[in-house]
Amino acid sequence: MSSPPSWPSAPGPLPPAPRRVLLMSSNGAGMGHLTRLLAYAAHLPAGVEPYVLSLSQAVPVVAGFGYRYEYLPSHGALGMTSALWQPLFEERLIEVVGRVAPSVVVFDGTHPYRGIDAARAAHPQTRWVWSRRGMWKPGRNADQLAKSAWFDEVIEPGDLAAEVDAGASASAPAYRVGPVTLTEPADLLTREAAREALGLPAQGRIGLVSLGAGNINDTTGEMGAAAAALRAHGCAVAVTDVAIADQAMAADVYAVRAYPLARFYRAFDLVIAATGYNSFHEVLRLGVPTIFVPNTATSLDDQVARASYAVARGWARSVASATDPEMGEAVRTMLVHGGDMAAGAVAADPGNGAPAAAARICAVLGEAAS
Amino acid sequence: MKLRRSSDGKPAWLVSAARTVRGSERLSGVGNRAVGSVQGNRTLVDIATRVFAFSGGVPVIFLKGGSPVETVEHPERLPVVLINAIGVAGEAIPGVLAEIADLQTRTAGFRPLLLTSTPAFRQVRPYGWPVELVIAQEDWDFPQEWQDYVAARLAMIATRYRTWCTVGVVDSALDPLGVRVLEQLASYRPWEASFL
Repeated sequence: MSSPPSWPSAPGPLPPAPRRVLLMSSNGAGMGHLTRLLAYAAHLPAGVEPYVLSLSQAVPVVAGFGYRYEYLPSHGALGMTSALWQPLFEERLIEVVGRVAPSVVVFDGTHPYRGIDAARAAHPQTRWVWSRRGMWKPGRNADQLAKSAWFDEVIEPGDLAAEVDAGASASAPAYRVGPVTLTEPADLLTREAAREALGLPAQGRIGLVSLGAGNINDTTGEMGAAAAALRAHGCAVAVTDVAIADQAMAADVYAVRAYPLARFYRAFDLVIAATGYNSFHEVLRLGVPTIFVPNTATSLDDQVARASYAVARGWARSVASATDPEMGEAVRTMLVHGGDMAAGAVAADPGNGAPAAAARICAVLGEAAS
Repeated sequence: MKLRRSSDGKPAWLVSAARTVRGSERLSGVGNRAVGSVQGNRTLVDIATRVFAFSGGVPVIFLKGGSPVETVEHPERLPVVLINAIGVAGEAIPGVLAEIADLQTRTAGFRPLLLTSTPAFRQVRPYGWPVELVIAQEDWDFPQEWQDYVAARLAMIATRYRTWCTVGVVDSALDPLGVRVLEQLASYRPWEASFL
């Protein structure tokens, strides 16, 4: 007679399935949306899995942080009309939310797309959070505020220039936190380590120009004028766009590629940057001498107001255009006094708002679970 | 009053209206809705098809054609072709892209939509083609079958992008038969000749 089969002992209680937060970014002009979501993710507790869905082709950078991601092409990337794209977006979003099964979706953007409402209706157990930065140009985008009704919570990442925020969102209800950055002062590399990591010379002054596209040989353009002003004051030039560095005629132009680049800011004596949410708060919170060149072509972001506020507080200089005659004087001033000015911004820093935002997301997560 | 007609006998007003509609992104969108809304009525569908769409089964769709067809007139009339590069290794992608660009430059007969399981946005950007990305099979971690996930995406692509055909990638190169089909498209374009 054969012996009875031996059965495996009863398993212990299964570990709880990780709760997922789907971090969803709109396309945007730069890395701002993704970077803000990564800042939230960095402060989510263990046991909560961030999962990224992005309309930005920069989304593969999140893999470097250990997060899984998916890409959903924007209508701009496709060259498609928004009327034709919207059903595609809606269909894809409903599929992703159904498959990933997040407890909470956090959408970072200033224009929640139609289709989010449909996805919410299709998956009623999922909670939705709108991460909506302020500093909208006055009179713009007010109709979007009605879409707050699609979300269980609206979190507003704070702005150091909030005092002069005259946009429609400034008085709208939201859970407001401090300015959000991915990089903290403690994350900064030393000047020597940063230069070595970026392949920059150990000696000499270097200014970083981060204005987006441009021609570095054309001094009548923004990029070329900024580079010329730096050179005139004995600074080598670093740019964030490899294509720009490739077309440089001079040997003192360096292409730097790293994400987040803010960790390496001590490599530079001076930064010349646009005034988007991310750049603005990174350079000020991290104490980097900066000349702001606000991008006036943005549809919604009031970069001029942000730059003006920083100048009024004595934290930085600003020029309307890098081609302005005052650019040279601004470079000279920042090379001499930039450190002290930037220190003023650091002293006024209320601290990173990312932990508070993450805590609020967790609270919504708790509500979803209950 | 005599009705003016085009060279092939169609009413001139209809030809003119069709030209206007097809040249307009906004009106083409209206056309898509119009065709949808009259489904079930053979006569109305026939009229809507004549006004808003091409005969020969290639509908107008506004989708980036890419830099090789930048100078082509009315690129929205070129068929959208899905290049299925799922599973193609990252290092093989640049070669495939160069092959597509060469074929597109030579024929000016199609618009590629690239489907990959490897993020290759930086490599594709100079060509200006739209990209769809799926999760690679080896990274799949969901209860559903990966094949079902991919099949659903392919169905969505066919519907939403109105892809005319699919060309696969075999041994790091475009499927030879698919290449021949795309070459045929350079001269076989009945949808252009039959109406206007």
